[in-house]
Amino acid sequence: MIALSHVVYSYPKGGFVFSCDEAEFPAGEVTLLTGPNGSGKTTLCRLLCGVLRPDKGYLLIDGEDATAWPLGRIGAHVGYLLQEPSRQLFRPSVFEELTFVPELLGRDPQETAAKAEALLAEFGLTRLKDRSTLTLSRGEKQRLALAALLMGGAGFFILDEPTTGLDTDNRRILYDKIDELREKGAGFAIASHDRDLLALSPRRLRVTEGRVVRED
Amino acid sequence: MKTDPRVKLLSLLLLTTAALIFDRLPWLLGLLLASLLLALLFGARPAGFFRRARAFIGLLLAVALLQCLFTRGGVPLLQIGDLTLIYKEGARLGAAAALRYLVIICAAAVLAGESSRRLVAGLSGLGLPYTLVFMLMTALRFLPQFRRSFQDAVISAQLRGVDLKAVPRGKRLGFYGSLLLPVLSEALLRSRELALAMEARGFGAYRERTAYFKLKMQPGDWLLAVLLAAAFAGALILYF
Ligand SMILES: Nc1ncnc2c1ncn2[C@@H]1O[C@H](COP(=O)(O)OP(=O)(O)OP(=O)(O)O)[C@@H](O)[C@H]1O
Ligand SMILES: [Mg+2]
Repeated sequence: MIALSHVVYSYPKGGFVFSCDEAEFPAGEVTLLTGPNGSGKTTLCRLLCGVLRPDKGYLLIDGEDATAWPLGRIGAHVGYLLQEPSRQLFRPSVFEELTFVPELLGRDPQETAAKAEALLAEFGLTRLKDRSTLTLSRGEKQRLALAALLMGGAGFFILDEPTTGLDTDNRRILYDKIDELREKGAGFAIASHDRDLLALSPRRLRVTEGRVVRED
Repeated sequence: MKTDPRVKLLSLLLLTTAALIFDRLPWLLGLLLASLLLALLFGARPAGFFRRARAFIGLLLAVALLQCLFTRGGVPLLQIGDLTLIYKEGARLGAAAALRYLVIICAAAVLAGESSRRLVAGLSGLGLPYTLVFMLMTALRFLPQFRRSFQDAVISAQLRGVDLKAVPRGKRLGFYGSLLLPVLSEALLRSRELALAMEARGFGAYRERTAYFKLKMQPGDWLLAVLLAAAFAGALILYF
């Protein structure tokens, strides 16, 4: 579970202030972040994964104070899917994208390859294994980015507007994937305007003008 | 009256050249003063200077320190026991190196008050092909976006569990290269989109371009250019 406690954050420029007394994101549940454009959903997402650090208050990961953890350590627990998936694809080929980080960290190559194959199959990407990541469609890029997050050990996932630009089929695939991972115990925080997503979970936080209100 | 951008480009060229040639401290100081004055004359805001200088201060100090420490021999300046840490010559060279960088940074500010439209007009007035100038300006305009895309890449790599400081030495180059891939793909995508959009609007359909906006060197501009060139030549003669 991750949580924000008595958090205040203001951007150095522009004067937008985000504040949140208590917000909890339990494992095994999907928490939806709703609210109008510019209300602070992305800001909340960035605070949850340590990309932004609060001016006041704490980020808690599984009960531990993670406010000052380096990103690499937070990343072992939390995965962040950017709104623009091509910004988190680093390698020329689909398969390498999955094996890149474990290789860098010196993990066992055989295990890594086996895990990558399994994830490719799970995400319907096996036939694209040797394709260039540059020429993938948006839906494929997104699935690949999510699979890459799963290569690490993270148990909690933050998705910022994951369904923009996806057609109905690709949305369906993504919802099913989220639900499946949730059943296995993963936690999700999803910022979205997508109505269909609302069916996925009753847990909601509404963000308005930088304040967070529980809605369920 | 605004100074012609070509005169500004000329002064940028002269200032940086002089910064590379001059080696003695008083001369570099004078040059710094000259570039500050010129930048102010051309409409740069002093606040911008300080922001820029502050952003680079770490680099300047590092440059100075390295020069200081790695110049050995001559009159000792700072000794700890038997070990001489800094020599007089080293301190001088260090200061000169830092000043030189500072001059180059400040000299860039002579273009600060310039709009890209006037720069394009100025550069094509110098005889550069318009497509080249256009590409240059477009690249500059997209720079902030590329920086954001690179930052996003660095962040998400770390969130995937990579500790930037712990990347094994042999893999560093490959790692940072990988971080450039998203930037590259975005650049390719953008330029393809832009090219299509431009072509759809008839870019390059005629060989000769006409321009609404033409720059003309005013007598004052010529005078300033000549003065700058003369000052540069004079300084060189005095220096040697
Ligand atoms: N880097 C930044 N510096 C200054 N202000 C920022 C920065 N990023 C976002 N903001 C401001 O913070 C506010 C909240 O932005 P945020 O991106 O969190 O909104 P959002 O709820 O995600 O909106 P959307 O639904 O459009 O994605 C906005 O007013 C925005 O202008
Ligand atoms: Mg947003």
